[in-house]
Amino acid sequence: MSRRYDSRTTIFSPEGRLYQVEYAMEAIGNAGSAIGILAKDGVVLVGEKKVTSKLLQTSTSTEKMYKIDDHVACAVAGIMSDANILINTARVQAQRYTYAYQEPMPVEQLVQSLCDTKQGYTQFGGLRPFGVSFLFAGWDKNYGFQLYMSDPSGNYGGWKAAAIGANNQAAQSILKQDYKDEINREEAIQLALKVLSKTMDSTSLTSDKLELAEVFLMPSGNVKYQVCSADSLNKLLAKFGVAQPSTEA
Amino acid sequence: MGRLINANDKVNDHQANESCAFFNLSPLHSGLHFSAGRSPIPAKLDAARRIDTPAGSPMSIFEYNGSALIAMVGKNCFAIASDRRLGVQLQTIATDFQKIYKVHDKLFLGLSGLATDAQTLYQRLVFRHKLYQLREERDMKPETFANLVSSILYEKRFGPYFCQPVIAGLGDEDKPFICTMDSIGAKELAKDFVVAGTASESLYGACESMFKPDMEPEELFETISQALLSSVDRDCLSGWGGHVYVVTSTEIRERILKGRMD
Amino acid sequence: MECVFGLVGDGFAIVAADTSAVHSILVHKSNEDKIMVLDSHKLVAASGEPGDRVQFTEYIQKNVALYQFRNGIPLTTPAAANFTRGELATALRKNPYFVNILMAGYDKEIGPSLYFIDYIATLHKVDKGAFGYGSYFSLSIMDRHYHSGMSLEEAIGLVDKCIMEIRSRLVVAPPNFVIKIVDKDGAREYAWRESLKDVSVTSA
Repeated sequence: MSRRYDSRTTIFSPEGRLYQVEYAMEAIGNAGSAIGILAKDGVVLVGEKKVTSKLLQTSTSTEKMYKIDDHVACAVAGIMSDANILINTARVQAQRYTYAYQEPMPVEQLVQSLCDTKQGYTQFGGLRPFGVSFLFAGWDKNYGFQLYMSDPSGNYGGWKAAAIGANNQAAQSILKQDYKDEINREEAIQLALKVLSKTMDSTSLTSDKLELAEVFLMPSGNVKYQVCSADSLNKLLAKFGVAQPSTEA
Repeated sequence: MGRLINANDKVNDHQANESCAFFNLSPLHSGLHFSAGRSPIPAKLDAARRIDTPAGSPMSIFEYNGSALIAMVGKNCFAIASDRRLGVQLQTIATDFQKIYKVHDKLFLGLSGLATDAQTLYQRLVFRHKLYQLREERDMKPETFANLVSSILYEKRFGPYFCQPVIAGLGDEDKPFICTMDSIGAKELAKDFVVAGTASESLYGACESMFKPDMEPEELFETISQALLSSVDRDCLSGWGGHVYVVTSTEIRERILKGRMD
Repeated sequence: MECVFGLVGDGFAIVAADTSAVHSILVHKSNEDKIMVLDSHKLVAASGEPGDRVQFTEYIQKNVALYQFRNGIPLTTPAAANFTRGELATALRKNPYFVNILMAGYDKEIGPSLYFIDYIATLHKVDKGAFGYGSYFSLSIMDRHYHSGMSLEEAIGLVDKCIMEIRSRLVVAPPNFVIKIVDKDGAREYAWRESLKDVSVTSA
């Protein structure tokens, strides 16, 4: 039945839905999840890695986390080939802004410009929407630390804690329950790992299935994007007691 | 419009004269040449960009703002230095103008020549370098950066940026790399030192007599500073103090020099 | 001939400009305001070709306003100055504007600042700057008497010294000047210095 209205991306169904956009969101629901938490001294991003073959040789250090500019990073859930295009667009946008104003681009403007690109593919014919959701973590001088979530329709919003990808609804509800204002970065990491340990399919949390990145201010006042190494991630997992015994055996 | 006058016409209005600097883009209209010598500005371009100053003497657009730049190689280190004057012909606008830019911790870029083009060029290079850094997750090698500068300059072969860049950096295993190029991107590599700017003639002399191979950072700083300060004293368009960076694999030492502040 | 100059004091920046609209040997009017209030906390004093000056400064003003409407936050003074420079630099190799600009502004985090932007788009942050024939006199006077952290009285005194010097030493000195100021309370007109009021045709 629905075939009448979902063969093109730009046509509403009689119920007022854009099926292709909804299918894109569905595709993201199968991808590795990612969680972002806004803390008072920074933003934490944690992602679940799906591809963990030891034969794999990657060209980038991270699979789900990307630096957009010195002050913004993002976590991805969805089709990676689509994401690569959007990440490149975002990086170019950020540099164009810097070229024009010689200042870092405000985080929301960056998110907005990327979502405008996404939106275009839900309206102009012949193309499919991007099958990617993003979590953006960043800092700017106007609004301090910020966390944004965007979906394939080009919608975005600012969040205190957000989850995308597989099991995101379960993750979101745990976050809603356990998130406290005035949380600090370490507590945010603990919370994010706890949520993932409950929502991930695999029984064990190990450093090779996880990625952790933080955006925070250094004492110099510069913004720092830091990806947690496997070693320190293991230590964190042990410290917070979320590493399951099976991994140590 | 008053400012679109051919430089060959006799004009009395000083401001109209200034503006011809830029808008007279007619090729080879006069026989005014500097001998090419080691001058890195192509003779053809140089001749086409000559304009009349209020004093009536010919001046190249490369000399509009005034500048002096040097880079020198030491033992596992390098130094790069510039003067600090920003002028508009003979009038001094500021004495704290930046001509050396840090690209990353081990790579520096000096831009002599027309200040506006130096600023545009620098901003474009930052743009390209930043995207490279993000995509490759590493800094650019000095050799690669030199190629980037060269190709960006050559893009504008028939309407060039009136700049002469100096590039200095530490490459693989912290091997120092220095080079300069003309305004359309022809590289000139050197093992000892490179100079650029309105004070380049006197800089060549000073460097030629003061340079020794394999200097340690402290001696290198002393040498490059003395070469800079003595050279700008023989040039009306550069000076008003100096800005020196000495770079080793572990640290960047930045110093402001006070020279003859007149 | 044209005289535009400005300086940064303690918590404020001041710009002054002559108010003569001149073409060839003819003075069209002597109350032409060459200092634009760019937004609530920015001033743009411009000299150069009159058509280009009006066209370009309005173009910048409208773009700065558009930015604020779109994004809900105003541009900082350095961002506005760099934007202006970029527009001038792009135009330079197409159809250049002949405008020299002194941009003064006040930002909460930065305080007062003054930017020098000439018609070929050289940008530099300065404490004191000047354009036009008046610059030969006002720069010298400011070199002698300017110091950092000047009070408002001192700064106005210095601006008046510059105006006096221009009036007494420049052959083609303009009669009237306008002085504008920007500080934490915003950008506004401060005073006029008029030695010649516009006279009507009948009284002449």
